Formats: sequence, structure tokens, C-alpha cells
Amino acid sequence: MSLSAFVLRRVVRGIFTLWLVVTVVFFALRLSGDPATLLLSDSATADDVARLREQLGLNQPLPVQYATFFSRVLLGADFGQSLQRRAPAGAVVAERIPATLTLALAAFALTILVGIPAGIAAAVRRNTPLDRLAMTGALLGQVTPNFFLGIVLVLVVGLWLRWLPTSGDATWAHLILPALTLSAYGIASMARLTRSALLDVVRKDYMRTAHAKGLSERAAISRHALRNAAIPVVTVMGIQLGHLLGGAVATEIVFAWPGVGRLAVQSIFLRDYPVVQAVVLTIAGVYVAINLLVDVAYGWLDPKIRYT
Amino acid sequence: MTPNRSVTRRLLSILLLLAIALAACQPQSAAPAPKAEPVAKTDAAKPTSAPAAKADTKPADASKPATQADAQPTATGKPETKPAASAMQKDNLVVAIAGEPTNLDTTNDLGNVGVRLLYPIFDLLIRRDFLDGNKLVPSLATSWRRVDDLTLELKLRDGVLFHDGSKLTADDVKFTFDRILDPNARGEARGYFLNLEGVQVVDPLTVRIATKAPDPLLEQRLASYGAWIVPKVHVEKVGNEAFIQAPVGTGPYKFVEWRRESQLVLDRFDGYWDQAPAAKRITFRLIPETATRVAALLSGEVDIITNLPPDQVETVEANAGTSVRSVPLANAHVLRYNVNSPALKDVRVRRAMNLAIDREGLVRALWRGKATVPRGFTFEGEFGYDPSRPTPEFNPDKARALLQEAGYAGEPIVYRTSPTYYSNGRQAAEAIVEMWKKVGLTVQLEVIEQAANTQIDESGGLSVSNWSATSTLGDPDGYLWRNWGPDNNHQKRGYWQPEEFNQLGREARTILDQTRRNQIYQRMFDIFEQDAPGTVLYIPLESYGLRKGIDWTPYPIYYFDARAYNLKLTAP
Amino acid sequence: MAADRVAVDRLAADTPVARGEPVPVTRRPHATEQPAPSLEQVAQLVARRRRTLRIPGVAWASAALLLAIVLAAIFAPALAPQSPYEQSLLDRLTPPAWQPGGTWARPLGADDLGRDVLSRLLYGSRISLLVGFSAALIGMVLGTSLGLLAGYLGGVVGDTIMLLADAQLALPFLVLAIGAIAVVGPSLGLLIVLAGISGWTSYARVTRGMVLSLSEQEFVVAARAVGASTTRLLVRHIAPNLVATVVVLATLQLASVILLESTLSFLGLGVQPPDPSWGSMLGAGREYLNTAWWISVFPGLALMVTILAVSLGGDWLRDALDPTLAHERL
Repeated sequence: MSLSAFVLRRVVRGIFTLWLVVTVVFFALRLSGDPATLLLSDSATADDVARLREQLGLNQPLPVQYATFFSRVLLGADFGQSLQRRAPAGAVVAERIPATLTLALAAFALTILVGIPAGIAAAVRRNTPLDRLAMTGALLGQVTPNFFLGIVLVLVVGLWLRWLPTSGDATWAHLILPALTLSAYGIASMARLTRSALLDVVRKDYMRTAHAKGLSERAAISRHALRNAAIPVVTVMGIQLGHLLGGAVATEIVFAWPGVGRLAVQSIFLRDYPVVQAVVLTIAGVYVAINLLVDVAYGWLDPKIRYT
Repeated sequence: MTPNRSVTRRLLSILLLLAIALAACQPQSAAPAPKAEPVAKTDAAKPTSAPAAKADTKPADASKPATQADAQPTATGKPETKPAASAMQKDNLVVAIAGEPTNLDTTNDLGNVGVRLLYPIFDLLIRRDFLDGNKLVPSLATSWRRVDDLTLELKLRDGVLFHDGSKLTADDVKFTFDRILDPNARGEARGYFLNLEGVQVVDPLTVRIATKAPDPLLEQRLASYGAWIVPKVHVEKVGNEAFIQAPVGTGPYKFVEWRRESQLVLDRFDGYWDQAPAAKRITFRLIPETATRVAALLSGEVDIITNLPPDQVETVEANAGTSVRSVPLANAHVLRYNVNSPALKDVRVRRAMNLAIDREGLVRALWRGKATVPRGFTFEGEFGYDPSRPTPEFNPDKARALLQEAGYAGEPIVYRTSPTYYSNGRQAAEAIVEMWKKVGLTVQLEVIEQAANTQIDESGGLSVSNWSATSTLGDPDGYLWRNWGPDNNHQKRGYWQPEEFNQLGREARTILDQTRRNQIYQRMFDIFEQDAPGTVLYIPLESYGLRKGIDWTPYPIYYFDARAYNLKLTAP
Repeated sequence: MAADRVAVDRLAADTPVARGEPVPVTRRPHATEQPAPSLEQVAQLVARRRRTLRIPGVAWASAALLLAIVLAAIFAPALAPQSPYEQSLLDRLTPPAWQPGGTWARPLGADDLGRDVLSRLLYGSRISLLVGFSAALIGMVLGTSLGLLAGYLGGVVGDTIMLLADAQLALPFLVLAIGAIAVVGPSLGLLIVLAGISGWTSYARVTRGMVLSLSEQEFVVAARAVGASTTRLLVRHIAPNLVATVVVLATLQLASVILLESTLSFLGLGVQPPDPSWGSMLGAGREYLNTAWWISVFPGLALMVTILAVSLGGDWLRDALDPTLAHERL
């Protein structure tokens, strides 16, 4: 099928998925508990609570609330007011996005800039101590829970050596440890996959031809192998970016990074419905978008995959 | 990808080495080093005249001019000349806090984390001088007098400016209290001023505050939570929602910016009516993790840290560049019970629970002995304190006997606590749960991260939760009545409904006879102990870490007072 | 590893058979007739070719490690110096035995309530393994059944099931889990259920794909024409192929489930105190990181070792069962 048809199908599925997620979250929140009592202090009367519920529109029947919510979101990206902060929920989420974005991009950059060269180096010097070391490190990186890695970094780098700060995002130095923590799994995966993809290509016949022609190993790799190994590696990069979102939650909590993941956890506990909805929609939206992009890229690179 | 055998072997040996390395690699100093400076920073009251002596010695020395040159506080706080820009002025005082409030609302963010930040931004009509025996001194009001039993007249200070440049007038005072009493507002402050009738503007610098019934504590209330004066014109212009995110007051520091979960920045206000404070800028940085917060202090990343747990006090004291200031809080950690939950219906069960708690043991273990088990529900030095009242009894045998007598059949008790809101809250909860299990109670603990943990959630049959009682007025009315009385949700939700207690409390707040009030409160304390709607645990010692060169005194209430008389910067 | 799981999903989803589209009906596709190698295939082909010798070393090592952990869990009462719940407020924050102030009565030190870290570590393995195996089981059963349903019934049912899978994958599962626990309240049962649900999608995709591809095979069509019952088809043709895949998926899922449980416990949403769980021990120790690092570090190391053992074993298993999987999984 044509690329555009393929893309269209994917987009429709993505939208439908998003809708499903947001709807489920909406109803789950409403059925779970009453935020009005959580919001008011101990001195509030029953009347105060009732009045607040009315103000917040919590008295309406659920379908009505849902319809109101949906129309507002679609028309003006209006998620209502944060129940806690009394500021627009969308704004509350928006102000945290840059922090998570910075963290995710930094981690992604590390994944590519460290993982791929490491994989290449390991492949080029396969079976040497360097290779073994790199692969050992990669294995370690894949089995270490990211929150534990974060804690160890806080302990060793932040508390014992006091080389770097470990809480918040006040300066650029604050970004280093969280980015390292978040990217560890990705670097490890990327290194291993790059190595294997490269090695596979290296064995192909045309590589033997290149050798026979007298090209050095290095030239052969850079001229032929890399290009062919790129396809699977590029695909996995997309997957990694999606994974960063999930890992960001724990990382943000360990390093008190003021991002969206941390906001999600806090607002779920506070039953701050509008913010939870906005956050869920944002995270799901980004996830779906990334998956979409990866699918499209994959479909473009490998037309046979489109036959679905 | 299959790693081969040698990789696996290497991997396992690396793991082993890692473990050994971590074990052997000790942190900088496990044992506290001998103190280099025996200077004890524990004198509570800093006489405001002391620094003046320093100013005399080095008047024009550019390299070490004393900020105290301007510390000439007068009785009426006349504005002094601005301090000369000097190396002693701290450009940015960074304070690491463990939690931040939702907004900066003077009527609603009155928890510990909120009042700390509100104090430098706003002023009160009357100030409670914590450094001088809790005397009430003039602040925005220069004088006051009781016109009659129900009315208090105050004269306002002239020439006071808000951060937006407008002048303070009686209209602002009236607006402030109208805002507090507004029935449509979500304000917690209303609970502090239930007796308030209203404010009358007599002339631009005179107001009259009227109460519904005689109030023996009106002046204390005006010097306490919620009574910070806000600018009428500005609030009306920007709206309340915007105002509580970017407040404007008359205090020595004005709001600059607030990055949530990151930091709040305040700059010195040049038009401040009283003498200028020492720090040019204050940054409140949020570092919720204890270990990280302490490390930030030790490394110099921050200047002051709050919520220093007793376990870490030694570390900070031992370090050469830092010191510790501690103060017993006017706050008690308590437990509160839902007396209508199936397990706790019988008062004997509740009394047994109270008897089973080894409070001294908790203090020894969790607070290194630095907390205090109070006498009943009273604070030393405050109204109602009686040294002859015994501390809560610890008697597990009696507890078991009571449980048997009550026929306790194993009904489950659900105890919910937050892991970080109260210092040592989780640890105390776990320890108390064990103590209760030892006497035969069935208890289930839930540790849930929650920003505001002062609510008992009816769903799920929750029976016990942590709480704290801050004595805001130096009087049982401020905590015993406010928290446990009929106007609080605790009673309103039916967790406790004591008739005699309520009757007595109402009486005590509206009579001016202090002897009779004392009698009433003693009886109310007795009821609290006998009826056991909860129990007092201990009065915590609150510790702060400071870098050397910062002379700041913490208060028994969580205010962060950075005004000139309380925060001084000596040689960096 | 988690990335592999998603990779499997993606690959299983992106194939003609998984989408239920018509596929040229031929005999079982041979390796050389495959479409362009996908990532997973590349990795496996490389792995197979690189394996100059069948290495039991890895398998032995990880099996031994896993066995050790299981034994530790089973024999915890015998191995632990004391009860994991025994508080001793006077012995709070005792360092490990080889440090000054430590004692061999508490070899790995004591936590903030004086409880022995080693004992809690041993008992904590029970939780990890319990949750891990139960969840893997739940996921396997749930996912396979749904996959079979989707494959056989096709149509709306099949599409709905696949959409549900998409929806679940649209959010980091951690956020979903946190939301569910916040709504219902923390409990071990909920934890196991959630962990089980976290992995069903892989099984479903793969199973469905397998059912679809097989049902188009000539011999199946022929068998049906002759009157063979569905059950017979299932048992004789689909099940054998399914077993290998499902087992491999289960081992992969085990690692991610252990990770999920420990993350949730770390956040305070999983196992509640005083029950010991490696994740919650890690979380509780954060406060004392600069004065009592052992409270957090040892549980973390235990987690690492366990996940390592499970992952290595799963990887080897997948490679060992390669020949079938390379063809059938897609």
C-alpha cells in the first residue's frame, strides 16, 4: 500500500487509542474518591464541601461531566482548573514539560552519542578486552533498576564525593546525574544492538569483497557496514525515546526533578482530576506520536512492512 | 545476544568487587570530629542591641563593613538609612526547604511549609516577639486599645508601602479581614477568626475590629496565622487566583518568581518601612530528600537547611563550615482516632492504645532524646501549663487488661501515615504499630505519599492517622480548641462528639477571667485524656543547619524570619 | 529485557498475519523466503552464527543463581538471623559487621528501626519471587487466551482486543499502575494483578499472529475440510509452537515484573511496611543515604542480581529455542 494510506491508518489508530486512554482515566478518577474533602481544611463545614463540589461541577451526572470535559478539551485545550493550585491545569502541566523534555533529550543524546560509538568500537574490536568490558557494562546497565542506579549515583557522586548536585534543576550541573541515570538502560541496549547489527553485516559477502579489494577493516566498516546496520538501529532509537518517558517517572522522583512524571504521581495522589487528565493526555499523546513516527519511519525504510 | 562464559564470570566478579568496594569505601567521617570552634550557637534570645557594638569598630572599612551598621532598631522601628552596598551583604541567601505549599495564600496555605514562606513577604498588625518572651509589639499597627469588651481600636503606621508602591491604609486592613471571613472563600483562616464580627474603618489610619463575643485572645490572633495584611487595590485588580501565585505584601522581601518544585525567589524590598534586612535576595530551594539536603549544606550549595532530622545533627555540627540551631516547637505530634470506627468504639480500647505507647522510648530512639514528652496536652511556658500534670502513662500490662475487659476481638485498626510529612512520622508509626501489636491489637499500616496528610479518609474504615497541633496563640484555644473543637472537621465528620468539652471550650473563649479560663482548660485536658479521641506523642525539637557566618534564630513556629533583628550575616 | 518485549510486540504487530490480512497461502515459510530481516531476527541470526559453541556456561550460571535465590526465599526462616519484623530501637542504623560499630549478629547492618537488613533481604526475596511468578503466570494465561480468542474469532472481537493492547501500551505502564493503586489503595493482591496485566499484550500479539498464520496454512484448511475439530487443531498444531514462545516471553516478563514491583514499592505503592520488599527497603533507606547507606544499597544489589539471573536465563532460553522462533514468532 502507499505510504500515505499506511500513515493514515496509523494516525487513526493512534487517535482512537488516545481517546480510549483518556476516557478510562476520566471515569476511573471520578469513581475513586471525592477531591472536595481532600482540598478543604479541617475547619470546613459540610456546606463548604457541598459548595465546592458544585463550584467544581462534581455534582453533575458523570456523562454530563464527561461531555463537558471533552468539548472543552477539543475546543480550547481547556482542562479546567487545577483543584490544588487553582491555576489552569493545562498551564500547570505545560510549565513542567520543559524540565522533562530537557531530561529526556539529554538522556536520548547520551544514548546515541555514547551507545552507538560504544557498540561500534566493541564490534570493531570484537573479542578483545575492550569488547568484553563494553558488553559487560552493557549487561550491567540493562539489569540495574534505574531508581537504584540513581540512588547509587546520589550516594557516591553527590554525597561521598560531592562532585555534583543531586536535587532539582537549578543549574546545568543538576542535569548530569539524572540524564545519566535515565539513559543507562538505553545506552546499554543501544551498544549491544549496534554491535550485533554491525557484526551481522560485517559477515556478508560484500564485506568479504571489500576486504579482498584491500580496504582496511575500518574503511570497510565505515563505508559499507554502517549504512546497512543503520536500519535496525534507527528503529530501536524510536523505541528508546518512548521508553524514556516511563523511566523518567522514577528518575524524576529520585532526583526531585520538577518534571511531568513527578507531577503525574503527585496529582494522582491529590486527586487533582484536571491535572491528572492533562498529564495523562500529554504523556499518552507523546507516546502515541513517537510510536507513530517510528512506525512511519520503519514503513518508509522497509516498504514490505506496510503490508498490514 | 549471548554473552559468553568469560563475560559472565567477569560480570560476577565485578559485582562482587562492587559490593566490597561500596562496603569498604567509607563516607568522609563516620565519627564526629572534635569541634574546632567551641562557639555555642544556642543562645535563644539575641539582644538586638549587641550588634551595634560591632558597627562602631569598623565604620568605613570596605572589606569588612558590618551589616550591623544599620542594625539600630528603635522601639517604633523607624526606617533607617539603607545599608551601604558592601561585601557583607549576602547577594543570595539560599535556603533549602523540604516541602513547599500549593500557593502563597495568606488565608489558606497555613501549614508549616506555607507560613514559613509567607512570613518574609507579609507583615501583621501586631507582632509576637519570639526573641523577647513572646511579647506583643507594634508592627503595622503602632498602638491599640480596647474600646469595650467587643471592640479593639488600632492606629496604623503611616508611610508603609506595599511592594507595588501603594500606601497602606485602613481600607487594606478591612479588606484583609473581609477576605478571610468571606463565606465563598476556601480559606482555612476563617477557622482562626470565627469570633470576628468585622472591621470598621474609622479614618485612613485607624480601624476598629469588632468581635461577636468578648475575646481574650484577639490581639494574639492579630499577631498570628492568617492575619497578614494584603493590598486591597492590587488584589481586586489582579484577582485572587493570580494574587496567591504572585503575592504582594508589606514585608521586607518581595516576590520575584516561583518555579514550582524548584525554587521561590524573593528580593529585598527597598521601600520597606522597617530597617533593611541583611540578605539582598532569598532563594527557597526545594530539596525534599534529607540526605541530599544535608549534602547541599555541607558542600556549600545552600546556606540554610530546614527539617534537619536528629540523626543528622551530629554530621552537620561536626563539619567545619556549618552549625546547627535547634528550637523546641510549639507543636506536638499527635495521633487522632476515629472513635466511631468499629475497632475503636470502646473507650477502653482507645485508652489501651494510649497506654501501650512508649513515648520516652520513641524519643530516645528516634529523637536521640531531644524531643519532649509533654505533660498532657500542654506546652511549657504557655497558658494552661501545669507542671504537676503527669506525662502520658506507659503501661502495657494495663493496656492488655483493658483490652480484655473491653472484649476486644481483633477488629482491625487501619493506620495511615505519610512517609515524609512529619519528621520521623513513618518511623514512629511503624514503631507504634509494633507496640500495639505487642498488647494484642490488630493493626494495619498504610504509608502513602500525600502532600497534605491532615485528613482522615472515611472510605476504607481508616481509624488512626498522624496529625500535629501547632499552638499558634500561646493558648489552648489555638490548638486544643481549634483542632479538636466542634468547628473542625474532626468533630464535624463525627470522629468525636464530646458535649462537655465543647461547652467548656465555648465558655473559655468568650470570658476574660484568666483564672476561670485556666480551670476550664484543665478540665478539658482531663477530658481529652480520659476520652482518648487521640493522644499526644511528643514535642519535637526542630533543627536547622546553617553555614558559618549566618546568624539566624529559628522560632517555635515555622516562620522564617529574615528581618534585620533576626538574620545577621557575619564574616563569610 | 523490556526493550526486547516491546520489540517483539512491534514486530509481531507489524506483520501481515498479525493484522489478519490475507497472506499468500504457502507452506511454512522458510528462512530464505523471509521478508527483509527485522531487528529481532538480525539479532538472533547474528547470535546463532556467533555462537561457535553451545554455551551452557551462561545457562548454568543463571540457573544456579536463580536456584540460589529461590532457595534463599524458601529457606529464609532458617537462614535469617532474626525475624524481619523484629524492631530494636536501640540498635537503629547499626552498620554492617565489617565496619566500626557493626556486629555479626546483624551482618549487613540494621535499618532505621533496628531491623536486621539481611533477614529482611531474605524474606524480601519471597515477595519478589511470589509477585514475579504469579504475575508471569497471570500474564501468560490472560495474554494467551485473549490472543487465541482474537486469532480465532477475528473481526470485532479481535480488533477490540488489539486496540485494548494498544491503549495499554499508550502509557508507560508505571503511570497506569500508580493510578490504579491510588484509586484502590495498596495491596499485595492488586500488585500481583497489575504486574500480571503489565505483560499480557506480548502474549496476545504473538498468539494471535500464530493462530492467524497457521489457520491459513494449507494443511489446516485441509484438515478442517475433512472435519477436524478446533480443539484438535489447537492441540496438535498450535500448542507445540506456542509453548516455546510463551515460555520465552514468560522469562522476559519475569524480569520486567520484578522491576515493576520494586519500582512501585520504592514509590511506597507496593508492598506496605512492615512487610519487607527490596523496593520498599530501597525507598525507605533514601532518607539515611548519607548516614546508613546499607539500608538502600543491599536491596538494590539483590535486585540487580535477581534481574541479571532471570535476564540471562531468558536470553539463553530464547536463543536455544531459536530455530522455531525465528520463523514462527513473526
